[in-house]
Amino acid sequence: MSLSHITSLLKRRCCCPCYSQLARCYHSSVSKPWIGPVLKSNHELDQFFNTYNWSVSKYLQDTSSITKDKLPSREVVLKLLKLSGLSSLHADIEAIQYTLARQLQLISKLHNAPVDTTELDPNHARLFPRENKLLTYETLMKKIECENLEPEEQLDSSNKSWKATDTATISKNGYFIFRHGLLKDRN
Amino acid sequence: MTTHTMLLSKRFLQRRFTTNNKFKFIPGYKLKCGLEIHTQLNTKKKLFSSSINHHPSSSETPNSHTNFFDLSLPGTQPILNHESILFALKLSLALNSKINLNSQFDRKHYFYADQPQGYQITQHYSPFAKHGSLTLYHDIDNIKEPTKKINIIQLQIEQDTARSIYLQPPQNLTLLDFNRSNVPLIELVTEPEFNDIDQIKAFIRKYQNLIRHLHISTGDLEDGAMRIDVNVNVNEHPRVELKNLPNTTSIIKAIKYEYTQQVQTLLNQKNGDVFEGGTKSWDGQKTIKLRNKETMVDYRYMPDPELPTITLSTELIESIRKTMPMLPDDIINMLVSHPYCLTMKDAKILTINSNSNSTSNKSAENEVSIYNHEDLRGYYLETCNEFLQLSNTGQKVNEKSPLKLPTNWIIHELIGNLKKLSISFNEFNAKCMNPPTFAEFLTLIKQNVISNSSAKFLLFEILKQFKDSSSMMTKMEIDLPKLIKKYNLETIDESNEKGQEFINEICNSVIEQTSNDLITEIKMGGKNKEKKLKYLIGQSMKLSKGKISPKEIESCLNKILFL
Repeated sequence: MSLSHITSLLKRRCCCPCYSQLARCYHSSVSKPWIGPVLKSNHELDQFFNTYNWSVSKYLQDTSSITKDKLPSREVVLKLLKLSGLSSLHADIEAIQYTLARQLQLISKLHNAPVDTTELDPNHARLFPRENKLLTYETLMKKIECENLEPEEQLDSSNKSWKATDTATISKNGYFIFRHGLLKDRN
Repeated sequence: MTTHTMLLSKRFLQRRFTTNNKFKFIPGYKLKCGLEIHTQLNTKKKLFSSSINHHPSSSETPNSHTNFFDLSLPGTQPILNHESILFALKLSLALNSKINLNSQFDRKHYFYADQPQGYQITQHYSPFAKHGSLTLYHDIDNIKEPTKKINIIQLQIEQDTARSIYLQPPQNLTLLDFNRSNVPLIELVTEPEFNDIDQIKAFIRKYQNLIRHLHISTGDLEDGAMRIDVNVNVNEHPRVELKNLPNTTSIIKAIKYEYTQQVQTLLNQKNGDVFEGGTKSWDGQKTIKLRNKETMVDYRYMPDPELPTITLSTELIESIRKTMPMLPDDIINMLVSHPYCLTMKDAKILTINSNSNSTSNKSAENEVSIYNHEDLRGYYLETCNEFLQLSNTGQKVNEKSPLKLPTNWIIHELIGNLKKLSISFNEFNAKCMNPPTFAEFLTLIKQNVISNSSAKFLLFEILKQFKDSSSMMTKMEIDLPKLIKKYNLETIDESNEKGQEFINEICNSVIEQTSNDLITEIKMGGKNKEKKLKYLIGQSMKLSKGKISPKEIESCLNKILFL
């Protein structure tokens, strides 16, 4: 990837100025985003990416500021386990409370980063260009025609190129199996 | 409330809500319902993968239409099927909704085996369309009020989940079929504006008819192509959401049961008690508590970063609007007006009633597969057009109901015969009598070339021949004048001497074959004279193969019998 390509990507995509280095590229504190100077060499690029102002591990490991009253409650942990489909039986809830507290520390740090979010659009948090081409009648019809003309993808198991249940350890008469035992202790 | 009043109320409820009693609302306890309808779209491919979207049926091999994405295998990504956008646009326009020019997909997180991704792709923050409505009418939809507008909160596109088959203990297993996984759905949510059972029935029927009319879904409740959840509350108390309702009968029974339960709970409520809402299921007899109402935050919605937003141009919406078919209510209004002048019942036959029977691949012996309303309506309208051209060349249509003949003959006589002989309407149209031929047949009746009864005989003979011969395989050649001659069905010209001789001959022949006692009784008058005379007229009609009008026969019999 060329340098200009990377910088152009940064201009278009960078939207997370919580890292102070990236703040060079994108400032949304004024009405029009301010783009920093173009990075002119590989050296500058390396410097840009390889200079750390702070470390993620620092905020994950530092448990000194965690006091018992700052721990997420036991109920919150049980709820999260349930939402994640994990059993609470034999779970070390206290250890999970501390792990969660450490992770929350990092998240709080990110949340508290000095960023002006007034002009940020959550719709831009996608792996796609921010501006879509408008869908017209002609393009929609063409897309439908192409999509429906495409032969059934080889991966569709109907053409016997593969058997879906082969991906599972156990199956029954062509069905995947869900064992009810896994639902135990979800509360 | 005193104990005495409570006991009275309990007895009152018990009397009113035993299974056999007709359901009635209790004064002072107002029902309020909202519907949440999931409609499977019959697009060719699935919503976010190129697997074929087969209509789900239990006979299909499980997991035969699944690709890596449908199974949520790691590393796979969704690719939007644009046909679902087209279908959603059609439905949104038909429901007068405000279409969102920039809608987006979001992830709704939950943990269950039918969605191994751990989330369902839906539209939460910015749905496809909002603020639609569907209006019910007293005459069309059989509701008590003249009209009832049901507002629709929103329409959103989302993916279906895998089908779960729960095996009973001791197996303790759930079988999972991912053929249904990722099938496109439209979720429609209405405002809680229903306050009568008739309105709910009418809305379901009307919506079902609409999606079939637009060809975007089969709309069958029984196989899950349409699934309905109902929110029920009484007197603004917390609502109960009813799920797992397989058909309209279950929906209605469950609402009635839940209303009764809620009223009972409220009657028994003590000071300080809090009425608890939640989610319930219907087991065929009663509603069963599934869970308390989950809060929205549990789903941890987030925009799906792997899907672009759906950005529509206004030109697209206007172009789709132009391609929209005439909607069912407009068709009914057209059919009950001049020149068609159909009764509401007949207009519904051509627009709604046969809808649930529209599956063309059912057995020909089964009455329900004879026709579907859309094909029949097309045939009717084309025949009417041909008929008007043949019978009113260059003239204005000024009769009160110029199309009474095509209406009666197509909707009643033809369909009746097709049902009797188990002939599919489409076969009949394609290989036996197309609209121009049928219009010619009707013109012969109108011009009195054949009488009404001769025409009935002729039509039945044509259909019988079509059914019996190999004509069902190839196109049948129909030469109506030739057939009329073959069966000797020309109407007798009653104004000339030859015609009168023929009528006399027929009447005398019938009198000779009838017992003298009966003839004497008719001559003597008295009890049942009219009825007995009608019998003679009928016999004469039969003998003449309907070539003479009943009026002429009666006149001739009166002369012969000196009545």
